[in-house]
Amino acid sequence: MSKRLFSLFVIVPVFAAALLPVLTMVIDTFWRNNRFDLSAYHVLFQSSMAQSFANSLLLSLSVATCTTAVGVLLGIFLSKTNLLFTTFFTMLLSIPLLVPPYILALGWYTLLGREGYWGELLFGFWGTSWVLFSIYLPIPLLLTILFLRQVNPRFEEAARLMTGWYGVLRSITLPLIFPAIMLSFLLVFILTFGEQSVANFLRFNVFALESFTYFSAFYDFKTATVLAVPMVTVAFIVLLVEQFLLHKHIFRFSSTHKIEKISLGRYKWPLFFTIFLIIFVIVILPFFSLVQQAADWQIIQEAFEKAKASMLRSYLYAITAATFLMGFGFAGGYLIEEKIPGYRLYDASLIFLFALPAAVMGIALILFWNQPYTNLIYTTPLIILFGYMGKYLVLTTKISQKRFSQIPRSQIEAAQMAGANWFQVLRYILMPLSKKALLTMWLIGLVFSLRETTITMLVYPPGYETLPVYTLTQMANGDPRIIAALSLFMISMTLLPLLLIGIIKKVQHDRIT
Amino acid sequence: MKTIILFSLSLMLISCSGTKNTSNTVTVYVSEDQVFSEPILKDFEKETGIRVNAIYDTEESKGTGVMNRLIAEKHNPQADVYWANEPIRAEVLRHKGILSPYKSPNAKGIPSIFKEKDKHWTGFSARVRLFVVNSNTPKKPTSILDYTAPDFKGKGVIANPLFGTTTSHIAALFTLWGDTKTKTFLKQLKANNTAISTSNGESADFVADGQYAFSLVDSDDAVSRLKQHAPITFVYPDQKEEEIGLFVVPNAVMLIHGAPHRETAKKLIDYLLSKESEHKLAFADCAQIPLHQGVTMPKDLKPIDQIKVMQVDYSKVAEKLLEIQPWLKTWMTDR
Repeated sequence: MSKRLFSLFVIVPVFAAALLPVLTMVIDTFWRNNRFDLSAYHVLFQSSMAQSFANSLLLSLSVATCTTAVGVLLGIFLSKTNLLFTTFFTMLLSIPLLVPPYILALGWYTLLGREGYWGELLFGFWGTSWVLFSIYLPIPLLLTILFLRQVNPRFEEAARLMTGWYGVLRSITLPLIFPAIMLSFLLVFILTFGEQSVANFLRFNVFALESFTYFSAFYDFKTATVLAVPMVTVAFIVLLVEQFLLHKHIFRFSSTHKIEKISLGRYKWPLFFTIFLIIFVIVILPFFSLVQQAADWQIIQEAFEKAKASMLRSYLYAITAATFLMGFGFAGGYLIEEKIPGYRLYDASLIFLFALPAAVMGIALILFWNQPYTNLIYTTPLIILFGYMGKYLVLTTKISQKRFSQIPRSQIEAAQMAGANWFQVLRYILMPLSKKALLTMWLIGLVFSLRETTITMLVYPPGYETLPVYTLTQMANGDPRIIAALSLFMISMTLLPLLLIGIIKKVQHDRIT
Repeated sequence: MKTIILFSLSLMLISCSGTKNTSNTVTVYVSEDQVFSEPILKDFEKETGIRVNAIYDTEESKGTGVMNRLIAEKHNPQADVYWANEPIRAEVLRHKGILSPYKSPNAKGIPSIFKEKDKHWTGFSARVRLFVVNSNTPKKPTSILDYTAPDFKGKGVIANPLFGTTTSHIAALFTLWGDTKTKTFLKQLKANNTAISTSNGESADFVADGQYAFSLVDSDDAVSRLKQHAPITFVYPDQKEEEIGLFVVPNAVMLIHGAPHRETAKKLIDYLLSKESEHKLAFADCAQIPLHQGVTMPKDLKPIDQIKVMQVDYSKVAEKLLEIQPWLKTWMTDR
């Protein structure tokens, strides 16, 4: 099989499944009564749009700055110092990213209510910023930890001959993990800019809500799509910045190293308690309020009885989607890293789909795939799979691409010298060397598919709802205790596979050692 | 890795199986809250043996999911029946050619104001728009005009008029009072420091918490707070002779044009329009008022024939609703 044919196998399914429906819808915004017409775009110049756009920019900048600053610091403390329970703390801090954002907003609302100083603060800019901060904090935290593991300790050891740890971190370590810091900032910025469920819940007018309003109040698909254009533009600008800033740096991360630990001395316990306090406020408090509300065995049983089918379906769809995301992400990463013809278009398309509001993608999927001859797709969970693929493929593709960039060319060249063709190199060299990355891609695909709500809500076939959708529909006058229990199921469902894989890896590690 | 891939593919096959369109099923899209509508649909399944596939709307995006789906699916409908929680959306769908007329035998006895004249939709089990008032409020409002009265300055709250039944109510006022008077009313309402909440449920909570003295909400929001022993009372607004009456929001059920399961769809519509279903919805937590006469109902609520009802044409309300949306959006953002 030629590389060109291979690239077609990767590009065409993604193009057909998600990009073509969206493009059809976008092209439609330029036409009215069979004539080219730009009047749909007038809505972008309304004064109210400017206000919500400014709100979104302010929110995204604030959340991205705060999460990056705190996340990088926490990442350093949790991976580079001799603090206790660092793995456990990292896991706890990652929980908010694993659940649908509205669940965390609900947790804070359950805790603070609407009254009083804190209740009033929760509704509006500060509350929205705070909730999104806690949701996206794991991104810089985990990226910092990941990148710190790839810093060659020899650099730090050499610098230690001249200066203390503070100097080493400032002059060697932080500049080396600059891509992680920058990537975190940009990723959180884009995610915050596109997120509307928390802002909607906490009543802060953001730009993403404008598109949502045109869907829900006006049933106006065209204007809703037009309003998605600035969001996609912002995402592209942000990613151009990433290309410009990060491609100027040359990073040679050969493989994972043992991290050189900093001894905290007398600061160990004060830091331990500070981090515990942060975890308590960010994670334990909002989730504890849910636990407290659902703390009744009968309620748990009743909620389980109601939701067991949707829980099972959530797993079925997420596991399947994760596998496809892993497979296509792996192939796509190779396509981009090897610069196979069409790679730029493919890369840009994935970013475009990721930045697009989920509601726009959902409607596009319905309009395109709901045809009598495509019922096999539209009336089955395949349509959900298409939605997840379109939305999240960029994540697994980027991981795969980064992994390929770390594999020394010499290994590939050696295989080629021995007579291996490109596919054999991919199959027998790159794939085995990317085992960890593949697992990471699968887990990320699983977690994001499990928590997805908007696309699923729009396209799921009747009687095939997932747990996040079921929880949302129950929130309409449902028993708050049942809703709290459902939210806890959602959290547990996401944590369970992560815990299982963690245990398996630990057992494997123990066997080896 | 191979195991994961094979496992996932088999899972996909399992999840895709069982989606065949059999004749003994009906697909219904539902905007009525799932907690209230699901038990009725389960009863229908039990009593008829017809399998119900349902899609429910969510609270914060009422209409986003189901209405957009119905519109987007127009040329290849998947739904057989739409159970709307108000008739305005039904009218939007009728104008878009998504509904098919059906005269249910069980529609007999339902007042004609709650039925579309060409039988595209039929109303049943209604909510009414009433005032929920905090028990500690010394002076109670009696008319929606009290939102503009100096005595109630800063004391009222109303749900965002861009969404849900509040939009319908405002549109109804436009058809009844005309554009000038209604716009003046809304501007005065704003000038009187009336707060805007995200939903009727939130408005009811604000009043129950004592943050605001009163709010115009749906009767089910009021009843549910009362059942939670919140310190509130109801006021049926505009009940005097010279006043306009209160706005009634019936559920509406309709047959989708080109429905894949037309016969089972009709059975479900007949079931929903029966006195038995109205009785169940009256005694459920939503406490909806039956539109058939002679259906027993909770003591907390007045029967429909003892209420002065706002006389509106829901078709005109729906047309007006689409027309006033841009103005309402500007009105909201100019606050």
